[in-house]
Amino acid sequence: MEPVLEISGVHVYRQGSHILKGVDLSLSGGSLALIGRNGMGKTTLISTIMGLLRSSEGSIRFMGQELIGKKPCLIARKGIGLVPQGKRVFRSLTVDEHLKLAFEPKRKHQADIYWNVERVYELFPRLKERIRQEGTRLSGGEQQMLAIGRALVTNPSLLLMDEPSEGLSPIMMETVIEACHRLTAAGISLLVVEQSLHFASSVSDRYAILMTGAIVQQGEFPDLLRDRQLLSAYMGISNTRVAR
Amino acid sequence: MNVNLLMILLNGITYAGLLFMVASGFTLVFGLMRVVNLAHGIFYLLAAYLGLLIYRTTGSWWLCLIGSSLIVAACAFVIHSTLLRRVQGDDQRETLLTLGISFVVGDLLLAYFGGMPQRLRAPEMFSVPVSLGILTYPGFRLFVLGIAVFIGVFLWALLKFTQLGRIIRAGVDDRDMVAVLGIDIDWAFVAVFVLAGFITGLSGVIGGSYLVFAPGEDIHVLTYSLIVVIVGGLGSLSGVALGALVVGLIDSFSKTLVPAFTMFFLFGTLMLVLAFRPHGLRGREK
Ligand SMILES: Nc1ncnc2c1ncn2[C@@H]1O[C@H](COP(=O)(O)OP(=O)(O)O)[C@@H](O)[C@H]1O
Ligand SMILES: [Mg+2]
Repeated sequence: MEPVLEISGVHVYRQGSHILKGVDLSLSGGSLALIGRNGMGKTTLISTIMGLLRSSEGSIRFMGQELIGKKPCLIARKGIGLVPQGKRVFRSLTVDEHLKLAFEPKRKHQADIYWNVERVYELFPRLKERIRQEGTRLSGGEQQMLAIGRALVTNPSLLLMDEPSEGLSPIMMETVIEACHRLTAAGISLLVVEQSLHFASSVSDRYAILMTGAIVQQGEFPDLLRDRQLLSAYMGISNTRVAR
Repeated sequence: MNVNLLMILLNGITYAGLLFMVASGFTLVFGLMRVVNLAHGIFYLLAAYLGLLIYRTTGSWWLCLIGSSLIVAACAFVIHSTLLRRVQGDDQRETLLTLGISFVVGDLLLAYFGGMPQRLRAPEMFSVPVSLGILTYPGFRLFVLGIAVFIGVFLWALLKFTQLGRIIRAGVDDRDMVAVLGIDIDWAFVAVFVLAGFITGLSGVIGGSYLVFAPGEDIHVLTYSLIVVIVGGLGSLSGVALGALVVGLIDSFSKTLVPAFTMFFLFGTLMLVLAFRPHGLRGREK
């Protein structure tokens, strides 16, 4: 099967420092968790896929089409959605306006479910109760739902999620995990950046570890969770914190 | 109430209408898109002089109004797509570039039209004074107020209810997040710049029929727009309305009662507002 996303040899510099040093990563459907400590370049990679940052070298292919050099809005229109780190909801727009802004009825979609505003409210009934509230008046968890909903109504076939569990209460985290399962079941591929191993391993079967700008390890989650040496080496996680 | 006082009050309010028109184009560009458009004043003056030209050839004030505004909107488009686009996001270069444009266009206007003060003649229908109970008032000024209210309602509805409005509001908050939704935000901002050019064109012709204009008037227009927008609060449409009302009333009262102190009162108000409300009367903190 042709990979949904194929990243090879990507180098990115930010203000003179070499952040990504030849990233190779491939995703063929389902969900892949990209893990690694703070400052390793995960957000930089996500932003580069989206076209928000420029790579000096390498190739990023989505369904076989080269993305590098394309504007973010064209990349999005090919079917990639972003749930950014820190949610970044618009403070001047209400919940409903967020979804109306992002919804594009004419766009063709590859996933099994066609996402419109109503579908998002079905997925997250909490949002429907806050329909007239401004984005920044929502709780952290509600903002995350809104950020996901906003990306969904663009009907992406690949969703990039950057630390979706950041700052969520345990209950809210379960809600978002549940939502992710429904997305993958609906045929959307996920690339999930996470610091929480619990979240990452609940949402994805496969993982890739990013360390100082390169992928250093890939595999299946059950193996990783058993390998304490690997965890402490790459994730800086002591044995006790692996337990949920 | 004293009829004279009422007259000054009405003058202030109708002048506020003109100020609102002038400043709303400015706030769309400066307040929302954060483009420091120092060519704003010259767009106004250009529209007034184009109006003069169109009036001389066609004799129709309405054609001046529409024609000048369309031409200024087209100029805004050309300036944006050839020059401003290249320095997008760089405040210093935007400032210098738009200042340069205003010098060049200002000198061209001076060379072609000369330095004599000019005035456009509003249609006959507006020269009839309107009776408002205890006083009669120039019809044209009431028309100006009406147009200002219309523009205000139009812009408010545009920002609040349309997709372009949502794109602009969201884009002001977080441009990149709008782009990753598959929306061509650059295009939306061009549309806003052109719309602002059109409204400034309208206000140039209307203002040029309300007051005389001459080379150098652009600096006046720019200064008043800045004061209105800063007093009202950056990027807030209701703030512009409020700022225009405050400036219009101060201007009208001080010009009639203590003309030498007009600028003193204007800038004094600006200082007071900034001291107590650093983001303007209706501005929000970033
Ligand atoms: N705007 C920026 N300009 C320059 N360097 C940055 C910027 N943002 C992040 N960096 C640097 O890039 C590196 C990777 O950051 P990031 O991709 O945000 O890491 P992660 O998401 O894995 O925590 C860090 O060393 C950080 O200091
Ligand atoms: Mg990050």
